[in-house]
Amino acid sequence: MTSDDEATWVRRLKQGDEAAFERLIDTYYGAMLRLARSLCPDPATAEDVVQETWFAILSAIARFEGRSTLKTWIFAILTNQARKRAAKDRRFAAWLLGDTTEDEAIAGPDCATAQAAMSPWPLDAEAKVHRDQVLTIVQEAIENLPSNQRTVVILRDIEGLEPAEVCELLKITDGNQRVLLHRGRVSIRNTADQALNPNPEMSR
Amino acid sequence: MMTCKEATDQVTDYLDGRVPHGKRIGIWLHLMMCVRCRSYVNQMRQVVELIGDLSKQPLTTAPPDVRDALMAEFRRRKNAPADGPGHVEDGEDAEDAEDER
Ligand SMILES: [Zn+2]
Repeated sequence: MTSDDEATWVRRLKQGDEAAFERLIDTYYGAMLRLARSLCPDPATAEDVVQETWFAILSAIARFEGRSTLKTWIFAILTNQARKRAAKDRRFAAWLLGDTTEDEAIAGPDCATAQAAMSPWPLDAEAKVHRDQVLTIVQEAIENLPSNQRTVVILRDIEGLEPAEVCELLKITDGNQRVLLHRGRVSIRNTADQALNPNPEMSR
Repeated sequence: MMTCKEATDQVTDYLDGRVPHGKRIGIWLHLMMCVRCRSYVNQMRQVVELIGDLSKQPLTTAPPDVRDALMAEFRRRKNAPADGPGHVEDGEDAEDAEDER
């Protein structure tokens, strides 16, 4: 979508155009739920947060000035709603409330892991079905990440947000954002490698 | 020469194009020499691509009752524009969303 398209869309939303609002629901509901599920301790709470976000959107759309994209603006409202909720609910992860004590050095792969990488993944030669299976593995690996890594991976690699936008949304430093993204990607890579090269010693 | 650990620790920044020039050349030289790290970096590149592919997969759509409720609320607010002040709290949150940028 070009920024002109988005400006027109926002103008229609402000004018009360129902089709424009339906389009907003169709475009962002799923992505909002995915982000909320990543932030919240259970699916029911995630649905609540999404619903609260929609009401906040309805209240605020008239004042949206287009300084960010619509998507980033919606995600910012959603993360605010999740933080509000987290302040009252101990089941939420501590990082949502600004506890970033996890700021240790990057836990990179040691040489043994790099050795396992000897066997290239049989991705290119395979049919589409195989790629879909790998995608399922990747999706599960994402779901199993700690919530802070998962949220950064979703925002950066699935939603395509810029590093600075992610830092702003999650109230984390750039260094922290990089570490979380790196750890998340490494962990997904390791899971995929185990599935694709279950026995690297043999295949070498 | 850079060690395998040093090279692979920086793979995320490397793929993001966020490694400064000097270090970038160091990584590049290491990858020239080291087939294992080259393979590792390729796998990480594939991982990023695969994760990106998830964005093309169909997502949950709004359940019909949620959709109807949202549309009804949209219509209600359109017909009652003076409604704004009643929802100041939500509005403040949303304003934060933009002001903080
Ligand atoms: Zn190496």
